[in-house]
Formats: sequence, C-alpha cells, structure tokens
Amino acid sequence: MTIALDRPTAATRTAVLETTGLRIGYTGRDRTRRTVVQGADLRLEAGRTLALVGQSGSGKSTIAAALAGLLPANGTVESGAIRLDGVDATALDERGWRALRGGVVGTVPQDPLSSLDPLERIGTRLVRTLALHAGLPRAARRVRAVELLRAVGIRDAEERLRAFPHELSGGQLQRVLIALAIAGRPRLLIADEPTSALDVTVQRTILDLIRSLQEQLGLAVLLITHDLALAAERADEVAVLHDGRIVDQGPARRVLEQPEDAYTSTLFATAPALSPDRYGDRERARSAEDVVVVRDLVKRFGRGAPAVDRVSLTVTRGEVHALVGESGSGKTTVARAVAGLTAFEGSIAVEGTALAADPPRSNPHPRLLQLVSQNPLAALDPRFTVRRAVEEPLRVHGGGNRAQRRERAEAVLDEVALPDSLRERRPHELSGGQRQRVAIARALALAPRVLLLDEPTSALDVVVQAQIIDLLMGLRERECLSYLVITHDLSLVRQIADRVTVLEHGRVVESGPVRGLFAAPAEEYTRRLIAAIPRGLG
Amino acid sequence: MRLRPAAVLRRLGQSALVVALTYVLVYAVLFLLPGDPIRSRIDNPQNPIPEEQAEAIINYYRLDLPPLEQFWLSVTRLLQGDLGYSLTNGRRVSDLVAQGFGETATLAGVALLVSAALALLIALGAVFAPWARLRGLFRTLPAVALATPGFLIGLVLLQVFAYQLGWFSSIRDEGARSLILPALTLGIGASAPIAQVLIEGLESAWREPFATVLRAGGFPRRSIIGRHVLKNGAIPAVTLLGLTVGELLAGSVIAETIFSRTGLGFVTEQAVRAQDGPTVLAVVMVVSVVFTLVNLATDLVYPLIDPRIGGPRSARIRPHREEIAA
Repeated sequence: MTIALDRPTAATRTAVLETTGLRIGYTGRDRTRRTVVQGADLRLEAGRTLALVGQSGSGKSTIAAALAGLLPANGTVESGAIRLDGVDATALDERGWRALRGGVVGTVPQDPLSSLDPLERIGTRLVRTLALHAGLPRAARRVRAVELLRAVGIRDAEERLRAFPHELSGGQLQRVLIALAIAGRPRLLIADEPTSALDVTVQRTILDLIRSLQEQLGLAVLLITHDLALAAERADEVAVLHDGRIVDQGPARRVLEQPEDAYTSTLFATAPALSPDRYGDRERARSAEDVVVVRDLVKRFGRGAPAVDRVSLTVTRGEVHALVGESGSGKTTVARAVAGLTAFEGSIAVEGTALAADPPRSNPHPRLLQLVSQNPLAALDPRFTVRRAVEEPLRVHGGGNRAQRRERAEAVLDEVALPDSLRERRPHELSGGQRQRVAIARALALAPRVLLLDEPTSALDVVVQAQIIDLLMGLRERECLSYLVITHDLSLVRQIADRVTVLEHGRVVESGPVRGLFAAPAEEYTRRLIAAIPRGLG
Repeated sequence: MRLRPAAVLRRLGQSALVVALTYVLVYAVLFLLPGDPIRSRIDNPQNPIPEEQAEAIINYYRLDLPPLEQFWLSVTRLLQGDLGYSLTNGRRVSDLVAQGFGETATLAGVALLVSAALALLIALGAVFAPWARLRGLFRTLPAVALATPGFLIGLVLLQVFAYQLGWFSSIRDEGARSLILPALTLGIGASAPIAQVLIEGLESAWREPFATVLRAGGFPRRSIIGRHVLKNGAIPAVTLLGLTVGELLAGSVIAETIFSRTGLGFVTEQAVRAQDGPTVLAVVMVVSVVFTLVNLATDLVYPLIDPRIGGPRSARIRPHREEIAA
C-alpha cells in the first residue's frame, strides 16, 4: 500500500486529546437532568491508541459524541474541560466545532451502510470533503481522492469514484468512510464501534487498516468498543467505563492482567474470546442418537445460484451444534427450513419425523423443536404480558386447562430465573437480557427436545450474554436439550459448541468436532473466520 | 442508474391498460345503462339544439345498433380523434375540451408550482426553524389547510384581495394576473398533504446517521440540509406530487366556478349538470390520460433521483469477494 499523505510520521509526545473531570448530562422531556458521564479524565498522545470499553449505557458513545461536538440538542457538557490538539473545545459553538471537525478530529462511524448519503457518488463526496479541508486546487482534488481510496485499500479506485454507496459492500463503505475521515489530515481519529456492523473476517481487515494508517500518519486513535478482547488486542491503553465512571484505566496489559476493579474482572471473565474454557468441564456425554438430520438441503430464491446448496448436518441428542458463517452464507435460511418456516428441497427429519418439503405456515412439530430468534423485542408481542406470552403456545397447542397452563408457565419462568415481580410486565418494560429469558421460556413451554438458537446473544451486552449462555448451558444439562446454534461469533462457538458446521456461500466447507476444527482448520475460509477472533493480548 | 428497457415497457403497458379500462368503465356507466340517455337528452323539449342537427346527432351515434357495436364504433372514432358531439349545443366535443384544457392546464400547472413551493417552505420551517415555537406553528399549518374546504379558501381570497383591496378583478379576464387567486386557492389545499409528507421525510433524513457523519466531517449545516437532507427527504413527496396533479384537475371545477373561469372545470360542470354524456366521457378521459402520464413520468424520473432503484441487483455481491482478497 503506498500513501502520499505528507504528515510527520514520528509520534510527538504532546496530548492530542485531553479531558479533565468531564461531566456530561442529558435533559429529559420532563426537564429532569441526568448525568451520564461523571468526571472522565482521558489523555491520548499522537500515534497511540486508547480504547474506551463499556456496555451499552455506560456513556462511552456520549463521550465520543462530545469529543466531536456532536452531542444531541438535549446533551450538554456540565463541567470539566476538553482540549483537542491544544485547543480548548469545552464550550465551542457550531462554527467553532466546524473548524476542528475533519481537520483535527476525524470520525469513523458505527454503521457504514447508513453513514453515507445514498444519493451521492463517493467520488463527489471525497472531492467535496477535500475542498472543505485540504485547500487543494480544484484540479488536484480528484487525483487526491483516488490516492485516498488507494490508501484505504479500495481497488480500481478511479472507477469506484463513480459508485454510489449501495454499490459497495459494508467493508468497502467503511474503507471509504475512513478515507473521508483522514482526508482533512486530522490529528485524532475517533472510531465508535467501527466494526460492529461488519462481518467477522472484514472486521479484522478494517482494524488492520486503521492501525497502518495510524502508523503512517501519526494519528491518535480513540477506539470505542464493547469488546474487551478487541480493546486488549488493539489498544495501548484501556479505560473501562461503567455507569458513566471510569473504573479502571491504564496500559492494556496491566488492565487485562491485573484489573483494579471488580467490574473489569467480571467483564474479562465473561468475554467468550478471553475465556474459551468457561464450560470446559461440562459433561460431554453425547449419545449416538440423531435428533435433527438434514440431508442435501437446497433452497433457491429466484434464478441464479441457490442460497443453500446441498447442506447436510446432524445434531445428536444433548449436543450443541454450531452453524457458522458470515452474513449471506445461508445459515439463517437453513434454520428457517429446519424450523419448518420455508419450503426447501432435500430432506429434514426431527426426532425421526420427516418434514414436508413444502411445510404449512407454522412450525409443524412444536413439541419437538422451537426457534429462539435473534431479537426478542421483535419476537414478542408488545401487548402481551410475560405470563401471557409464555402461556400462548400452551393455549394454541392444547396444553391442558387454564390452571395447568398457568402452572407450566410459572415453572418455565422459574427455570429461566425470571423474577416473579417482572411477570406481569410487557416486553418494552424489560431489559434485553430479561426479554431473551422470556423468549427462551416461551420456547420451552411445550417442553421441546431441540432448541434452534438464531444468534441468541448478538443483541446483548457482554455480561448479559454470559448470563444467557450460562442459562442455556444449564438448561441443556437439566432438560437434556439439543441445540442448533446459528452464529457468526466463533469465540462463542469455541466456548459452548461440541460440533461445528461452517457455511460459505450456501455450501458446507467444513464440519467436525469444535476442538479439532479450531486446532487444525482444513479450509482457508475457516482459518480466516478463526483468525478473526480477537486474541486479547497477542 | 437507469431503468431497464423491459421495465419501462411494462410500465408503459400498465399505463395504457389503466387508460383503456377507464374508458370502458366510464362508457359503460354513461351509455350502457338502461334507458337511452342520448335520445332522451336530445328529445328533451328544453334542448336548444335545432331539429335537423338533433337528427344528425342521433344518426351519428347510431343508436339503432346493439350496445357492443355502439361501443366499438365509439372506440374506432376515438382512435381517429373523433370524440363525438355535445348533446347540449351540438358542438364537437374535441373543440370544447381543447378550448377548456389549455386554460385549466395552465391553472393546474401554476397551482402545482404553488403547492410545491408552499409545501417546501412549510416543511423547512417546521423542521429547521430556529425556535421550537416557530417550528410548532409551521407544523400546524398543513392541518389547518387540510381542514379548510377549497371553496372557503377561494372565497376568502376573493373577499380580501378582490373586493377589499381591489388588486384583482373577480370577473374580468386580466390574463396572467387572474391566474393568481385561483392558483393560490388550488395550491394551498393541495400543499397540505405534500407538506406533511415532506416534514416526515426531512425529519427522518435529518436523523439518519449520514447527516451526523456529514456534520462530523465539518460540512456546514446549510449545505447538509440543502444538498443531502432535502434530496433524501423529498423522495416520498415526489410520488405525492404526481398524485396531486389529478387532484388539481378535479379541484379546478370549484376554483373555476368561484373565479368565473372557462376552463375544463367549467366545461365539466356544465356537462354534468346537463347530463351531456359524450362531453363528460371526454373530460374524464383527458383527466385520466394526464393523471396516468404524470404518474408514469414520476415513476420514470424516480431512478434518476434515487440510484438504488432500478440498478443491477447483483451489485453488492461482486465487490464483496474482491474485498476479502484485498
């Protein structure tokens, strides 16, 4: 990769970013004030990376917004100071901020797919951004735009200038956004969850790109993430944020190896990537009895290559079988076919009962197999209370009289450890983890033998993820359940699965016991997926 | 990105079908119902048409033929540009319509511009005005306009600008000047739904992450709103603007009556009152053709505004593999 950005590459020892006692609050609709960041002291020098780690609601995105002057209208810096490249930015107005944005502070957004105007060609945008910051003559802007695209690893840069955002993939869009962020030669790059919307293998390439640009340009990088393993791998320093307070801060190695705070220890203990053997001592007694058998499953959408192409897999009793792949690999389509929600070619049998290739509109064997979907808020009827939601499958499928149904519902809710006080609430009155517990209870109501878990934890925070996984692993032993887990998260697979089937472009590229497969992946694609797991401290 | 030719052809076919079906339906309602509407109109003792011309008209319509053949006759004549004769004054329907159409098209065109401009102004005010109270005020305007009947707006405008201020004449034809009040009357009413859709569109576009990213890139607010939010937020309103054309043509009946103009609305009013079947049929067909054409145009213009529509579907898949290799 060549780069023609003339910036001193040597890291100088001045603070590019410095906050002291930063407090930020929001005004609610009822005019009440809520302080979400309670005194943050951060310092970041050129060429260094600081990771700000925390769960959703910890205040990390608020800090990121404040550092670019992008707090929403009801948010204000209550006290403390922000200094950016020596400039006091605490009380700047919009005009003052505009002078800093792009030129001093560059921002890489969270979701590249929605971060570019869909109606503007990326070349136009690059040229306009250069006109705004770089002070280049008109004729040179296009040349620089091509250079920038090449610098962020976009091939056929010249041609790509004419592309609209929808013609690029998520990873390419993030590259374009990085090119835009560095176009004005900023000193500080704020990357707020820059890879959370991207496929796992792409995540790594984007982070590598940011690192190499950082070295070339001497950028200070503030990496905002919920992923501790990622922070530990990528940052020089880590600040852990909990409920608006920085609870631990220091060199990445020190924070990871000797956390000063109990919360930090919990975070590290629960991150799947950092604790692969959490369930290592679990009973691995698998019977040879097949519970779900999928043979030569094919699913076509319209003409062209099938979305799922001759996929075969077997789930045995008591097993956790993971189906992994990137978005578009066909894993959700396989899940929908197994759940009897879509027509297919080939054969699927659950507990020896073959599925009709053109199934009825609902799950044909609710007492054998239940689906737990990715987003519990969307999966639960917003008007139903918890009790009613859990009782509904019993009512639909004739689960005894009213009293028996109530009793069964209470029993499964006990099983997922949902407190009694929450059972008359509606989904929007619950937290994400509580909702997922309700969704699991609902799936368990009919005492099925198999649970189909579609990204069961991807919408949840790390600590909550660990609680849900704990719950699922406990249930599996108590109820002798079998799981088919659909996921893109290989660190989770390594932690909980017995066997794994890897899908790429609708085909099975590899399948086998998890330990063997992780130790010696046979396929290049599998190697890439495994390499994408953050290694923590390398 | 352009629409593929096949899609354009299909869309053209649909439009032609809509027009043809309208013709069949309206013809059936007007002429195939029991009772002989044409003869009863012509034979009406109050009808001013002279005896021999009435005879000619009855012969022209060939009322002795069975209904299906009459219909076929009218279709073949239509394809030759012959719309028949008015039952009230014996003039050629094509002349009547052509005479009224020019005037109404001008009125509707100006009214369309008025409604678009008003809607834009109101929506920009409702979303981006500096004070919350001012935004709230702008936001109530579309509801007020919707709740006010068109004739009332017209009468108020007449009262204020023609009778009290004397800026316009309510009866004399003053050329372009006399277009202003009726165009306002029509435009104000039509602007309300457009403004509401535009307000929604601008708000949601302003909330999109790309607007924040533009701010983070150092672009001034004015250019973000003007170049990005407005373009993205106006897309749903473009469709509505197309539908509004039909409403304006229909609304011209009221505006032309209030402001004593002799456009298509006036022709319609006269024809309906006198049960002048052929004229009514012709007017309905003109409106339906214009309406269909305008909507066809908005559909064809859409991909020019929004590159995501009509592009090759596989565009996303191709660069993805390339990137992994990169």
